[in-house]
Amino acid sequence: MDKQIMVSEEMLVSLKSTRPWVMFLSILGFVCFAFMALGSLLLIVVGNAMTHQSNMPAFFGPGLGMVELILALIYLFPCLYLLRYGIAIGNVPGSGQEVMEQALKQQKSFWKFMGILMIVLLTLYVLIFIGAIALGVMFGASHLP
Amino acid sequence: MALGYLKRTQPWVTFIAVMGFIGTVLMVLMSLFMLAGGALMPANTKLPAMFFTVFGILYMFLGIFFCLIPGILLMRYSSAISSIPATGQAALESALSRQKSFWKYAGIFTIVILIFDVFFLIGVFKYGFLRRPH
Repeated sequence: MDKQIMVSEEMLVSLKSTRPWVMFLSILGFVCFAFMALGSLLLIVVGNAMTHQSNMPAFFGPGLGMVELILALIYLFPCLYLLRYGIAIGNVPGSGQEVMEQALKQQKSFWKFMGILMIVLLTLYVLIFIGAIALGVMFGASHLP
Repeated sequence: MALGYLKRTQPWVTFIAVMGFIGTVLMVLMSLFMLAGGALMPANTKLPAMFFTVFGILYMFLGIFFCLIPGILLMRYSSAISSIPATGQAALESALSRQKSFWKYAGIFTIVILIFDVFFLIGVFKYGFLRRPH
């Protein structure tokens, strides 16, 4: 694997034309994060006031707001990795080798994060699925004549 | 070292690509169910059959453009990474070019969705405010 590979013009062109898209997506991601964070704060504050006035369980509002805030924070990470990738590409022609390594490392971090996130989500889905079946069976059993 | 990072990228990219393919199958199945439902529904129910047809087409669209195409692009990136030790220079070049294709696709797809969102919002406002139900 330690065969010498030169950084060619073609590689640089590919990386350079990746950059605007990566930057665009990460900035858009930050905008979405801002909206989600605002929404969650609104849910926590307004939801808190609303649940006090109505008969809604206290969980609605603040609880959902917290969930949304956590989702927003999880969402922040891929955006950060993409931004760092974009910045690293911007540095590439500068000092060659190490900067190129840095760019490849950042995109590796991004894909690793996405992969792990997907595994976590799939695990959660399976757990929710099993939980829903278990709850349904328990509920059904307790209502048998 | 740089190659090491690419090697470590590969399993994750492959995994997400495979998830994309599974997603495609699920979405297309869902879409076919919806379309069949829309076609078979009796005309005198409250829920218009149109609703099912529209969602069926939407799922088909998502399956193809949100799962299948990104899946294929990522798979091509991943296979280019695996052929690097053998073919060296040229393979690294194609790996970088393929990851560029993926990001370009992701960017364009996002722009298209944003444009759809704007039209959708305009539509909602128009129907919501101008044509109040009597």
